[in-house]
Amino acid sequence: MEFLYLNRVTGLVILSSLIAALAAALLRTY
Amino acid sequence: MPSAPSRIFAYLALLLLPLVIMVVTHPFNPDTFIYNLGRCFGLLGFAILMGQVILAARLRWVEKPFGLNITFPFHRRMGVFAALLLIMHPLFLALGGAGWPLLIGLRIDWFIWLAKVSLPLLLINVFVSLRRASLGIKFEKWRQCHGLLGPTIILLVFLHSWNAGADLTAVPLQVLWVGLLALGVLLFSYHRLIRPWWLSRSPYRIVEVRQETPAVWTLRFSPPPGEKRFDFMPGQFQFLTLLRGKDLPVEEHHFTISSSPADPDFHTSTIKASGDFTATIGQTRVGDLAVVHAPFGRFSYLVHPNARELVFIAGGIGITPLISNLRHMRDTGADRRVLLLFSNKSEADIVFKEELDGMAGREKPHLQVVHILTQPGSAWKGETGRLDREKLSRLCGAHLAHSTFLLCCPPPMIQSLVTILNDLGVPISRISYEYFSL
Repeated sequence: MEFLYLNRVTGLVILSSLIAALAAALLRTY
Repeated sequence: MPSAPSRIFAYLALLLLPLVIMVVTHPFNPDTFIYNLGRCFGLLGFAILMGQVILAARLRWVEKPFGLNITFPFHRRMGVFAALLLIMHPLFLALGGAGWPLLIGLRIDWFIWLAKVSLPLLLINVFVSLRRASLGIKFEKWRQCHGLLGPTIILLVFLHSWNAGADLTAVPLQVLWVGLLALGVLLFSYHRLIRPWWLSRSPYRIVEVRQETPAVWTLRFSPPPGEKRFDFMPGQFQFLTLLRGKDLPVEEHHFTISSSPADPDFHTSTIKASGDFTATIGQTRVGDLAVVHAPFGRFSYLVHPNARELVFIAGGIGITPLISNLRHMRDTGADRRVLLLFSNKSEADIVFKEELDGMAGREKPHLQVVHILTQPGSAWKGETGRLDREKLSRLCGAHLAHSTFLLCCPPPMIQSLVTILNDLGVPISRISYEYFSL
């Protein structure tokens, strides 16, 4: 249970961060 | 897990806030997309590094809905993620227009040098933290180095970004940066200095030292005079600093609480003499003092209120959180059915054997105990060998279809058991486990 939860939270944080970084870079460039 | 989403949202907001401020304060610039992405990686990496202090400080508000079994591994994973982002930060800047001199040039500004020093330090810090055990580094030594390297890296990265980051000319981002640094300094000081000092002012007293087996000892603690023992859930653990004779090490280690919370005046930890520090556990004496920081963890049947049927699997000293759970079930007459599979080397190694066998005759909880020995004596008539697929399938039977599994064993055994249980149709959502070490 913990492993599943940890994976989900880690995945959510990493994915959200990368999407936000891409979006921010796009917004600044174009 | 109550309130967990709000914590995750707050953490994400902390990480993404620098990017939001950057976009709002500097909406457009003439740099390339790759260069801007490199900048974003830098801002994100710094925010994650600052968040590391929050994750590691054992703050109740942060830890409680998850347990340190989740927040500490999450801290490790975020450390790896921050390192990857901060590797990509200069690479993308170089690719995006700054050119290769940024990476390999020697005639660069002093604040770029700070980054060139801090990045290898960060990589060393992450690598050593992930591979500490296989590198043979003692926990206490690693903890001291981690406590020096972490703040040094954060300070270097702060100075680098403050001087190099074009976005740091914006006042809102400057305010956030200084605020994050101040929060980090405050939390680090609280975690490493203020709280240990505060706890050491009212230490617990060891009132009994009992030898359970040739290598296992139970320490019984009583709270400071006039104070109540802390409240805890069965299966939780404590951070313990034993203050003993002059020649014995004064180190903080975490140990499971083996007693039931139903006993209002005392609590116990049952410890196996195995590592450098625990090898001295038998030299602990009645009257010695202990600085206690507790409780932590969520390895408790109380976290699964709807699980009426449970399978506990313990390997050796991994029985300690499970005996705490069983004692609490016994003390409160919990209406649960429990199958305990308890693996040990030999009969002499079985901790709490008489107590477990005595509990097995009760109605509430309804407990069935199966001992499994890997090196049995000639007189042993019970199960033998390792807990493999055949044994798990045969011993668990109908439990595989609906019971909740709580496992506490050495890491390789956990990995093997989880794989086999998955193969036998037990979803990971019904398996809860705790390693011997965090």
